[in-house]
Amino acid sequence: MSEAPGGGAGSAVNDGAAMALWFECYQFLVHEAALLDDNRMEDWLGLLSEDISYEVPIRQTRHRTEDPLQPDAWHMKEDIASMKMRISRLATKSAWGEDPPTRTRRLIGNLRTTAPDSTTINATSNILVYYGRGDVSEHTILAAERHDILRRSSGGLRLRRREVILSHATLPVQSLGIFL
Amino acid sequence: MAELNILRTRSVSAELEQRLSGVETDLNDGLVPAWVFGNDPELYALERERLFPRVWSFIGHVSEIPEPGDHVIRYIGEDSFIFIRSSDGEIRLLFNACRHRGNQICTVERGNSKAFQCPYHGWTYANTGELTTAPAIDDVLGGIDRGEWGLLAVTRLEQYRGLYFACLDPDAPSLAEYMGDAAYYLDIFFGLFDDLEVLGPPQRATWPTTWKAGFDGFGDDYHLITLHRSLFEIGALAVPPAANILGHHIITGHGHNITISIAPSDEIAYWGYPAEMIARYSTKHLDDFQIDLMKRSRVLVGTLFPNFSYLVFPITVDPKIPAVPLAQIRMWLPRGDGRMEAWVWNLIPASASAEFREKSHLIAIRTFGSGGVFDQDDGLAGHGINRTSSSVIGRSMKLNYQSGFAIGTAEQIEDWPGPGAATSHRYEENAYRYTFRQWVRFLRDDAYPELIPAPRKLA
Ligand code: FES
Ligand SMILES: [Fe+2]
Repeated sequence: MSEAPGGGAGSAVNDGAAMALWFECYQFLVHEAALLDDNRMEDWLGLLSEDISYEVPIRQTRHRTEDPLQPDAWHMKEDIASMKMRISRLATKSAWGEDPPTRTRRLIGNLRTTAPDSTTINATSNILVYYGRGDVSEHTILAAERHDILRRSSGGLRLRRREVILSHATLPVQSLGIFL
Repeated sequence: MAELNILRTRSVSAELEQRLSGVETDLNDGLVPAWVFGNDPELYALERERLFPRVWSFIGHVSEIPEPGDHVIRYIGEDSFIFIRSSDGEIRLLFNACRHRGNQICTVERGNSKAFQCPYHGWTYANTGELTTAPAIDDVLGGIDRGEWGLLAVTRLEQYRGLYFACLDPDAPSLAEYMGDAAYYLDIFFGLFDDLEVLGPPQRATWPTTWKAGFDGFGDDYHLITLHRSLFEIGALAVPPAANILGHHIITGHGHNITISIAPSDEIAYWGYPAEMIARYSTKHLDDFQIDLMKRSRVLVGTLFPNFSYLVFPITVDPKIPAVPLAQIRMWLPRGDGRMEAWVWNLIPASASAEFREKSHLIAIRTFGSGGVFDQDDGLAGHGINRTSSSVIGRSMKLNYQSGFAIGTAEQIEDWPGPGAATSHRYEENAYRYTFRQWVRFLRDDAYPELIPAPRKLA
């Protein structure tokens, strides 16, 4: 997925375009992460395109020559209907597992962007999430690489696809009640 | 052939023995002392030696290792085993430890191997477990009896309807005897669909609670109305809250239990599997009562003592989209004191259409499992119970399991046509008391414990 920096594009003009793309994309990802950290779930939902595909495949411990990602098994595999279900559930008074909500702090980095056409951006980023619950000091760190496809719409960038490649084989938390 | 033995080092301290005998007294009053769910190193060490090696532990489904050489890592308690289909076609369970210095020889969760070479000094074993070769074999191992130094194999590995279970105790009864009448009810799903297969490898997630919160909570129907209320509110559950209580708990003995939601009419039959799909399967080996249960069943949840559960029921993410049935098996694996791993396998009949297969898999992922909305709430309760029962004051609490026994309206059904003791309704709590009775017997009894039969009259 990753390409060597500057691959193909050498000129100052192209570097400028690449920087603008990177900056635009990073702003989007940081904004989106802030909405999630602040539990502004409806606002976050507004950043998903209607044909969103959000997937967290299962990872297994396997030999170096084998793919650790399972092509046929997931922790989450969502479309817009199931994303709306999850978020409308959080808005009820009885989503106990997330009320009080998990305290999260997302750090997004190592962003790599390409634009295969004028409306599509491929963005690969790393995410680290501080994950804390309840009135105890213990916390967990969740780590993943994300392969996103963003789409330009009249309202701005929208998330069309996100594949979350967990760094965990066994989830260190009881369930993914948060979005990565 | 070298034998695999359970090392028994523990004698129960007088203090714990007194507490355990107190559990039996409390259970007779419909109470469970809270400390059974708490962090307790002595209790956990005792479970690791006296409970997990002596019960029949779930290992895996036959469809997980279809080809010769296929293997997956599985656990009995916290001990690691290789579940493998050897090149000779036989399915084996090998202790994941080199016989030389004990290094683990299989470091991957899943793979296909003709042989295992130990990374430490290179002892190499065929996938049957046999020691075949090693570096500088004549200089170092000349004269060794290779037949004697193969991987330790579990001799008591048995299957029922494609579900493999293992037991490490030579004194234990057969799997069939151990399951007893629980098989009668397991058959209405696992016996009907004779071509079940897993939908990929299991999800694994770490819960900050004891493994016992798994068996206690999974068959508990009462908690749906509050803990999972959000799912009724958004219309995800096909069975409305007022109807959820209808049906039975069945205590089949040996610590196993079943809960089955029965519809007054057949508006949801066969858990929502399409009738034309059901029609493809033979019910020849099921009796009339099993067929009747299957027909009217909306939800089927069973727990085989101590840490294996299964679940079949229909659900949707949106009331405008028709509910689709999911089927899954779960294992509640101990992972240290006060921690467990929930393993979730989703199942599908192989004959299902590609479309149905995908729908059933997706609804399972979205609702029940490591990313499911149910598990989010279940985890919260599991953690809360563990915190209370590990606290100084909480440990001394007696928890109320009296519904259907001393209080409430649930009653035993006198003329139940099936095996076991059945009650109506599904919010009663006798089922868990009988599970804890069996748990205490395993911890207290030095000899192989009595498997407690289903009661004629609930007590
Ligand atoms: S420990 Fe395996 S070869 Fe020495
Ligand atoms: Fe639950």
